[in-house]
Formats: sequence, structure tokens, C-alpha cells
Amino acid sequence: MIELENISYTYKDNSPGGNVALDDVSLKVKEGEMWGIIGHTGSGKSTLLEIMSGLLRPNSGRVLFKGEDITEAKSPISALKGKVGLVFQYPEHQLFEESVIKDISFGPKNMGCTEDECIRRAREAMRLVGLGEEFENLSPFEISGGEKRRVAIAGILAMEPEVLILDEPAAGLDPEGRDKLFDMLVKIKGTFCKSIIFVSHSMDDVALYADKVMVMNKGKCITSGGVREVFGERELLLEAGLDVPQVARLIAQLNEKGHSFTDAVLTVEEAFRAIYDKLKG
Amino acid sequence: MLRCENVTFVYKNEEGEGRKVLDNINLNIEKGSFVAILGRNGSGKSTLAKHFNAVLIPDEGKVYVNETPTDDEKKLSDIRKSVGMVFQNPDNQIVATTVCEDVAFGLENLGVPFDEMHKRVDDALRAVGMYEYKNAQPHLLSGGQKQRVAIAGVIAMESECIVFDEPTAMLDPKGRKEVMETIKKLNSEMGITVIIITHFMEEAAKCDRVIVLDKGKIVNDGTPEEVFSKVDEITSRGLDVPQVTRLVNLLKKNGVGIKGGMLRTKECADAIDALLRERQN
Amino acid sequence: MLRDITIGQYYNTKSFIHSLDPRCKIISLAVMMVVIFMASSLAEYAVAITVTCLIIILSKVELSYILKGMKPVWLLVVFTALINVFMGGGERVIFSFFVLKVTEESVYLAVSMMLRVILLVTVSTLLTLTTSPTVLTTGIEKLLKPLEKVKFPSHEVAMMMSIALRFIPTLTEEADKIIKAQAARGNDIESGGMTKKIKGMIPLFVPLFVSAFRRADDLAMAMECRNYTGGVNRTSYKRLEYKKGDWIAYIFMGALLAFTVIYHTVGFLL
Repeated sequence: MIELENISYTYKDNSPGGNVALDDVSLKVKEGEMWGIIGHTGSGKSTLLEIMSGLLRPNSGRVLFKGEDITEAKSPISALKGKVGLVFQYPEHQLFEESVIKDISFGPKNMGCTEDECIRRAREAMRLVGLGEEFENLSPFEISGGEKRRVAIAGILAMEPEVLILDEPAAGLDPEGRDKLFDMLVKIKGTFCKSIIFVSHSMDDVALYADKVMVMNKGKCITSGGVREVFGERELLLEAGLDVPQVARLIAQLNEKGHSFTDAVLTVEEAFRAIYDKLKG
Repeated sequence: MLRCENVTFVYKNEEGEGRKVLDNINLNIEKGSFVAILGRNGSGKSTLAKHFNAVLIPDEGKVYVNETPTDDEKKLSDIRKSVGMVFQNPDNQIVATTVCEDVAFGLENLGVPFDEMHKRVDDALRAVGMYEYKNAQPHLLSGGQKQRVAIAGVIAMESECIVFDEPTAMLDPKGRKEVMETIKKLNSEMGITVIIITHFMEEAAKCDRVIVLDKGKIVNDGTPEEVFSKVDEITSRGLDVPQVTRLVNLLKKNGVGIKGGMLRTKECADAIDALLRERQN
Repeated sequence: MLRDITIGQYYNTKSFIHSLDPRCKIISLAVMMVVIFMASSLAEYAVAITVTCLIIILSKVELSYILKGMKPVWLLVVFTALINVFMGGGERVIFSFFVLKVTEESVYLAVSMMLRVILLVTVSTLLTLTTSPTVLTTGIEKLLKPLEKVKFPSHEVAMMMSIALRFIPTLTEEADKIIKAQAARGNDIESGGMTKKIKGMIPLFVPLFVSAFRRADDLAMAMECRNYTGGVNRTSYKRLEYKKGDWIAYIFMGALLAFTVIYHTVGFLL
């Protein structure tokens, strides 16, 4: 779906956080994949997302969407025709209309859809994110934080993207809200969008929901691949100031004590299976 | 230090309809303790926090700070001085254009003389490890650094108790660690009473006492071990427990003889190691 | 893209002018304004220009920086000059065209107007170039302090200025993010006609205002929690002290003012 080839980017101005740059980053996202991108603030994740969705043009390197080079186009974002949708971290940065349904229709309206088509798409998007009809005429400023986030996601889904990109979709949500949101994303990936890419600070979320992981540090991709392979390289993650989920640490400690568990344990259920089998098997 | 007696607070919307946000809260917080308040979004935890230093006054019942009721307007300044507050959004609580001036803000308000003020500002900045940024502009700092400046602003006022309202919700893992380490130090080295509102379980696990709020009521109160051992109940309240706690709970449910309520990776690894060795022999 | 805009640019270097007390610089600016406005003869203009050049040299600010500050007023300068040239009236006609006539008096008026505006902008720019915004606010606060006796809210004014300074970078950064978030939904403010551009601004301004109000709300609560109750019984972290250089500047400015006033009155009497 999306291919990044040797992307580099340098900020011109002295923005806060320094001249955060991307240095020769490559990534290949295939149809049906769910990618998690992890890394610290200032590691270049956000810049990467903006380049992927055509908001920024890289200084060098190519971005291919379905084999077509969008970096050559006059305006990379128009070349994508809404097929790659980016949801920003704070819904407060985009909600502005008087009602939820109008706000969600904003994207399709800008794409030149007819009014009926806008409404149809907005309703479909609301259904996908689990917002009931009763929300249609509410003000987007009156609803809860979790609901605002859903409206923001719906606002992008209404543009019918094939690839959905989200910047820290769970930040600020409570554990219950976070779980519901990720369950929703998994469902959307199976039905509506072909691939999903999300940035997260939480190793647990990435371990649970992503099947591919890319780790960024200081503008470089230090490793990427299947979630199990990447979390197997704990040394590398620690070097980047990151860690693996707690159960993976537990298994590592047990192995140090002379037990032989496989390194590929990432979730509580997997850890339980492995330990239980050893105890009872 | 702090006492709530039958505290009820009703939130009224524009149409005058009331919703009980706090429902008959009784609570006593000892001097020098380190308390976490947990609860899903909308459980009333932030509302409760705002009662501790008279930002909100209960509709029914009373809150006492060092035996002074918070509805005593003549004592307002004393109450605010005794109980300081640090909020979620680091940007929205820094008033001045340089770090040292911001730390001085509270002292200026209290009318502290020039020389003493400068000494207290320097001491407070050293305590949070931000002295070298004394003359920096706040907007150039990272989120974690901004929160530490906010904390310095409160300790400069020599508050006995600091209430943190989700201080790490908008930070990345590095910033979160920085801030939590600072908060722990305040409690252990300076003897400041700490109340922290959070929905990160790792943070709550570091406290002496965990209070769980749901629908405006206290539904659980005890040591982290006691509270988190009730895995199913905590989960049903929309909260998380640490991964190893859930693992141990699963093992127990399946008939493995292991102590519940474990929070730390190491103690869990030791316990499982012991079980595995027992079986091998 | 909004980050390029900076208000009250500060040119960070060490110079005599930089080291002066902000109160001294503000008062000197006021004196310079009077001098420039009172100037009517060649000699007075020569003095005003010489002093301005002297300040520029002492401030060690590059000339290109000062010229950059002139950019936004350039159009205004040319426009006022043109109006004065054609509409200035006067007797000694140089040439006329239709209802427009150019006279010697009107040319003189236009040139002096241009000079005044350029000098005024230059000296004001020099103040912000050589004084950091924080120090400038402190200076204004201390200068306004005596006005409290006549119920002027000098503390509140200073507090407002300082909060504005504090939040300009935060809000510009936020505006940047909002522009991007809306661009991701196809909001285009770069191309199209004026109406389209204005329409494209609504989705940017609404979130920015909502956020600014939320921030104001949060900040008010945070200030209240830190015992802020207004300017009464407040002490100050910052202290301003006059040094030798400031007295020298004051004496010089006093002399300049005296010269202008005397020259002007004498010239008037003659």
C-alpha cells in the first residue's frame, strides 16, 4: 500500500525540540497490516506520519502509494485524494462545526461530494466508530473526551481512506476507553480500511494490537518487523530508552534463573499458557 | 492532614439539571502519606481533588485541611498555601515568561520579601532538578520539565500537601518517569503529603494507599497489593491492573497455589521460580 | 509556517544600549518621539538623524535588521508621501496635472513626513530589538506603578502583557497543528480566491479560540490555587536598579529635549 524509500527531512526553523530530522527512513506497509510505531517525543514519529499522509514533502526519498510516487506531484496531499487519512492526537485541534454530523461531513465536502453523499458517508463513519444516531445533532464541544476522539476519527473515515494513520489514538483515555478504541480499530481494519498505522507510547498496546512494529530513535528507524521479532531485541529497545511489556520482562527474568521459556511471550494470556503448561504439564 | 466528611457535590448543567458527581465521600488522609486516587473518566476523581484546596466547596458535608473547614473564606489563603495543586496540562499552569519567575509567582502573591524569595526559588528549582534551566523560557522545555517547574512553584510555597491531578496524562514515558521520580522524592525526602490522581496503574502501584472511585463513591481503599488483588472488580470499574497481577490471578484461578496481589516483576519471578523448582524436585 | 512570525523581535547581543535599564529606554524613546515630532527646521532634523544613528551604532544591531523592521510600514511611508506631494497645497507650483499640483511646499512636507515616520519606526524598533520582552514588561510595570494612586490598574496591565507574551509561542505552535489537522481533511488555505481563503479560515479559528478560552480557564484556576488575588500586598521577584550608564543616558536625553524646546521657542519668537 504505502512504501517509504530512504526518506530524509530537516526542519528549517529552530522549532522547540530542535531540528528534529528524519534520516534515511524506509518502510513498506502491505495491505491488511496493522503497524505500531514507537519512539520518544522528538524521535521523528510525527514528521514521519505527516510525510506518509502527504502533508509534508520529504527533502529526499520517495513516498509511493500503490506504486505511484506522490512526492513528485505538485501537492502530495491532493495526489492521495483522501486515500491516506491522518488522525491527529488531539481532537480539539479539528472540531469546529456546530454539530457532530456537520463536522464529520467536512472532509467529504472538501473532496467535492454532494450533500447527500456527505451525509451518507458521515453516517457510515459514525456507525464504524460506534457513535449512535443521538450524537448527530449534538455539539462536538459538549461530548466527552473519548467521544470527541471518535468524532475526530470518523471525520477522517468519512473521506473513505484505504490507509488510516493515527497519532497516539489512546493518549488521555482511561484503560476502558483505550481498550474499546483499539477493539474498534481492529474491526475497522478488517472491514473498512485496508491498513492501519498508529503511533503509541505504550508497549502493551503495541504488543496487543499491532502485528508489525517500527522503532524510531533520533530520526532513525532502529528496527522494524514482526511484533515478536522486534520485542525479542530487548537490548536494542533499552538503548532507545524503551522497554518491553511487563510479562516479557518476567519471562526474561525467569530465563535468567535457568528456566527455558521461548522469548516470544508478549501478552498475559501467552505468559499464563507458557507457565501453566510448565507447572501442570 | 485532610479530612472529608459526607462530601456530596452536585454538578448542574445549563438547564439546571443536577448530577451527583460526588456522593457522600468520607476520607481521611494522614500527614506524610502517598495516596493514589483511581477511577475511570467521569468517576469524580478530579472533582474530589478540587475540593482539597477549596477550588470547589462541597454542596453537603465538609472538607477539613488541618482541621480548618474549606468553606471558611477568611482562611482561604492558608488553605491554598497548605495544599498546593499541580494540573494535567503543563502549558496551562505556567504563568510567567521565564522558569524562575514562574516559580516565584506564588511567593510574590504571598508577599515574601525579595532576598528570601530568591533563596526559596533557587532551593525549589534544585529540589526538582531544574536549577540549570532557571532563566529558560517555559515553551522551550519538554512536557516533563514543564511539570517539574510547576511542582517547584508549589514547593517554593512550602506546602505540606500537594495534589496532582493526572500530572503525567499528557507526557511521554520519559517525561512520566521524570515526574514520578520527582513526586516520590517529595514524599520520601521532604515529607510532603502526596495525593496523585491517575489512571496509570504503574504509578498507583508505587503509592502507600490506593483509593478507587466509581460513580462518585469510594468503592475500594487499601494498600496497592490489597486493591489490585481484586483483579475482576478493578477491571469491571474500567481500570487496569499490572500485567503480572493479572497473570498471578489467572494462575490462581486455575488452581496454582500462589499468593495474590503481586505487583512487581521481580517478586512475581521469584514466586514462579520457586513453584517451578518445587515441581522439578 | 506561523512560526516565522515573531512579535517584538529581540536582537540578542551585548551593547551599551542593551545594558540600559528598560525604564531609561522607554523614557528616552518618549523624548526621541517629542524631538522628532517637534522638528521643523533642517537643523532639528539633522540633530534627530544624528542621534538616531548614534543609538544604532551604540546598539550594535545590524542595519539589515532595522530595515527588516521597516518592511511593514514601507507602504504607508510611500503612500503618505504621495498624498502629501499631490495634495499638500501651497503657492510655488513646480508642475500641475489635472487637479493635482506639485508645489515646493508640498514636496518639503512630503519629505519631512517621510523622515518622521522612518525615524519614529526606527527608534521604536530599536527599543524592542535591544530589550527582551520580559524585561520590557517589567520596565512598563515599574513605570506605571505611580499611576496606581489615580486608580490606574498598572499591575493588571503588566500581568496581561506578561501572560500574552507567555502564550504567544504556545498558541502559534497550536495554530500550526490545527492548520495541519484541517489540511488532513482537505481544508485548503493556500489556493483559491479571497472568499475561499476566508472560508478556509473558519475551521482554523474556531478550534484556536475554543482552545484559547480553555487555556484561559485553566490558567485562571492555576493562578487562584497559587494564591493570586490581584496586585494588593504583592512583592516582586524582579528588581530594577539604575546604573551609571542610565544616568548618562538620562542627562543626554534631558539636554536633547532642552535643546529642542529652546530652539523651537526661539525660532518661533524670531
